Amino acid sequence: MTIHRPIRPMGPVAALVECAPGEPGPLVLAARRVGIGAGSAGVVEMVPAACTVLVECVDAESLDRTVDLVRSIEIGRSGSDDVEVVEIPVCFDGADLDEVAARCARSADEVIGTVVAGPLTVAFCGFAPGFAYLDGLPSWLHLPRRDTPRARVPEGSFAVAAGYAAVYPSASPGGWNLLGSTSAEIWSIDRDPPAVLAPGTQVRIIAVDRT
Amino acid sequence: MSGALTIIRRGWSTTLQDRGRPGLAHFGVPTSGPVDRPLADLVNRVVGNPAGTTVFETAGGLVVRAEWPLVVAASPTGAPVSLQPGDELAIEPGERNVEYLAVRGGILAEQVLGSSSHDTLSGIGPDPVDDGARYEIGDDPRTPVHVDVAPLAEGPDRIRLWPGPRLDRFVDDAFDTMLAGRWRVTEFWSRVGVRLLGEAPARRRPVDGSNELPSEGLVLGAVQMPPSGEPVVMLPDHPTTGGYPVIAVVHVDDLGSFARRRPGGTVRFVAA
Repeated sequence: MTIHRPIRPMGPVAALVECAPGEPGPLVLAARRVGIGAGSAGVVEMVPAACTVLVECVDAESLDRTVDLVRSIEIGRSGSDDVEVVEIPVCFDGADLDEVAARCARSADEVIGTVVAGPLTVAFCGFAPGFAYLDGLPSWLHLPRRDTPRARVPEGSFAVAAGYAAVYPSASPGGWNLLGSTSAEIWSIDRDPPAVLAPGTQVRIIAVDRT
Repeated sequence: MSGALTIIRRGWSTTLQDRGRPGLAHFGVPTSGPVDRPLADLVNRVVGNPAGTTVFETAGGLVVRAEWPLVVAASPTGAPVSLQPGDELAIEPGERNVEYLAVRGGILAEQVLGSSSHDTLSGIGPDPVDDGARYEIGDDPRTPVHVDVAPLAEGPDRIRLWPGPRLDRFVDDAFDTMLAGRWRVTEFWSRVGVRLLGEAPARRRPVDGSNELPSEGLVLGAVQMPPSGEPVVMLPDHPTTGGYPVIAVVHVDDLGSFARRRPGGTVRFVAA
């Protein structure tokens, strides 16, 4: 069956490709595997978000060509291709761990066990450079942001909110629920690419005693 | 290196800008770059630099002192000026929101993720320009400087708009409302975006019973419409994604002209 995802033009050289939830990150990765992505011929940006991929090109012709390809790419089933898995060591010493467990009516160990059990997938990046929204938490661990955001969340904090998990790439204000911390450098402006967690990347959280 | 200059007064909102860093939006990195690209290109052309050479962008008040003989062009005049060591040059706040200063040979600045643009949203790039900072100047580009004065093409009376991708989020005539009305440029003006105030705000229409829209990618010039009905036009430091429906997109060739409209003034649109 040929897929034809709906298209919504955003001016003459950009368009949103509508996707099912959870598809955008893996779709951008699948496109990159066949040589289509930001910086490839005629393509300026390819930006996944929650339910869309924004394709921005240098001209209308490139946009037509790129969108035609992107809208019909089939995403390989998880595990069926040799997806690189990024391991992130996390020390579960977060200030909100016990509160999160209580709100979910589970023990802290159950929360940790769930986070480390399944691979997570980078759905998209946003909020700040290198801030990756990690998909794959069970619905009972989908919590809203905290009522009052913290003025400063330290770099490397591992947190959950809005149905996603994330690692703060740098210190910033933030409203997510802090479960732990990592010493892994997931973002560096001196590296190319600067982010370890590119859209579509699979992530495995490893519990460690200290970071 | 073939010269240097020193910042005597940094002025207001003074940053370095080149072409920005496109191609990193999927990591959450804004493109950045000059707010008024035609004007930045013009001052570079006047001094014989290639387009996209690093320039100073300032809201005015910038004063520099030449440490070597330099050829410069500031956008208020758009003419090449020779400075001798010790000469100072000031850019006063003008009729536009931002002005530019180009130096023949280009300003040598730290490259971060391939660009010397300072991104005000994420802080990526060289630091904002500060009093006392000294900048080295690149080698002479060996191009002729043969322009006495370069006039900037007068901007269009009406800024061209394309319909946005989320018109189904508004009542039927929302795009026409953007075109019909006169919009006031508000004080909420920054390198991130400009908020406009209109007489007849676009009314939203719930889709599947909800006004919530998951965040999605944004382009330069996208016009986001929050529930307040006061649209925000995205400028170079805009976030890579946003959760308000995009009602329209400014024609890329009219963005410079749009960015010159001062807070308190008005702007009118026409279908692209």
